[in-house]
Amino acid sequence: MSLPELHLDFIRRRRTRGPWFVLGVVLLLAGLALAAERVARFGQINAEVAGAQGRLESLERKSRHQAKSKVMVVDPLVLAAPTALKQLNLPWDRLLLELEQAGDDSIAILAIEPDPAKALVRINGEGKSVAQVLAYVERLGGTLSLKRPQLQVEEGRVVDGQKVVGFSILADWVLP
Amino acid sequence: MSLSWPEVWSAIVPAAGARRLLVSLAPDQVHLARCAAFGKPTAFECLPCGEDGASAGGHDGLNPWQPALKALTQHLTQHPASGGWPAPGLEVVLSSHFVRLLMLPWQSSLHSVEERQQYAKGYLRQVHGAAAESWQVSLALAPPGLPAPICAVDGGLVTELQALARSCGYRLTSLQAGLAAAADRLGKAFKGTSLLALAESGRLSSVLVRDGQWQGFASLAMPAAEAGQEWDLSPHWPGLLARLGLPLAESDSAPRHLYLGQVAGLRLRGEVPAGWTRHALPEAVPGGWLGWSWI
Repeated sequence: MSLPELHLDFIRRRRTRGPWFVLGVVLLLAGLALAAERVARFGQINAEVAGAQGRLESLERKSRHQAKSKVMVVDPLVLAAPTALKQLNLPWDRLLLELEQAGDDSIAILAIEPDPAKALVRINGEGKSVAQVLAYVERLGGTLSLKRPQLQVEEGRVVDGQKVVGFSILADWVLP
Repeated sequence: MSLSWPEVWSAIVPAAGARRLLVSLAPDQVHLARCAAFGKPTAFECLPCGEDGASAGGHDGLNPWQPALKALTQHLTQHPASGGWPAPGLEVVLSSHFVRLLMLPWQSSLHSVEERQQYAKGYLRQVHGAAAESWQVSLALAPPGLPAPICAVDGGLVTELQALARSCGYRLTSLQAGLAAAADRLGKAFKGTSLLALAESGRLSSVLVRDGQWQGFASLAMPAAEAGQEWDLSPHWPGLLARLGLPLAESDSAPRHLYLGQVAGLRLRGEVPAGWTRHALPEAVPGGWLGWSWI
């Protein structure tokens, strides 16, 4: 057992502060500085949010006031603009690319009717045989854009002297 | 060894001129040594304090430390600190003539430092009577259940040293008993049962260590002696060991180690007690008690 130090000093305090204490103090100060910076940043963000909320409420009040004070006449094109914008943002490229990749010489697509609101796509077309149409339906199910394709109608026709099978496929459109 | 904040500061800002003045106070001599913050002492001085006051100490109602403090005051007044910031540190060790070292019995009901201080003062009053009223106490840490070493010194000496240091541009940074400082410096070498005994003019003081714990202190008044005078300690061992509660010859054969040293140029002779092995301490250095504390 090592002999403990007497340290019977009337002035100087006991030395309990080694290099680790100094390191601890440095880390503590660094932590406090970081915390202070975070708190300051939090305060700044809070102020920005409060300002934005204030502006939003002001705009809402102004908007309500304007709505009450006068009848607004809005161009139908302006009303349709959000819908058009939404539709422009749909993943058309991917859908068309995958439809093209799934098809082959035995399948002719006559119409594509997307319904973004319901996330559905209807594909109308003609195939040389039922087997080829079924294979096409299977390939559509493997694409990223379409899920659960259902063959809804099939009928035999004669086009330009050739027998073809008309079909209509309804599939879920995978939207981001 | 870990560094205290003043020492860390002094190391960081050497340009601030952190210097130390080391002082040893004894009834007949005051030793001074000046040194840089971490350097060896560069200048020793010895101030005699017997001509106009030392002999009066303890006889004419004066405290025994007053002649030494007077000599130190005269010297520091003539040679105050040269200014600068921080002020140089003043570190003082006291002769065993000026201190009381003893073991404070364990009290399980005491928890705070203040409670232990009060208990220590009460204990000192029990042992030393009304004279202990004005004493200041410093307590050492001790494991639970074991007595704790304590040191008492006249509160007037502490107050006057602080005032003197301030008035002369110093900071009193340390004040301790020379024996306690020496025990801390030499204690790492102690094994089993060890006795550190240091002789100075007029007193033989000692501290006993057993199995890694401080066991007790004992101090014997002896005839005053001049530097170079030879002292025969043989007749004093039985008394000293008895005060420490040790029989002259113990029944067990465990080795017992004696570390014997002297202060201020005394020459010691005489046989060590039977069963004790004497160990050589470093050669005496100038500076009185300074030699056993810092140097």
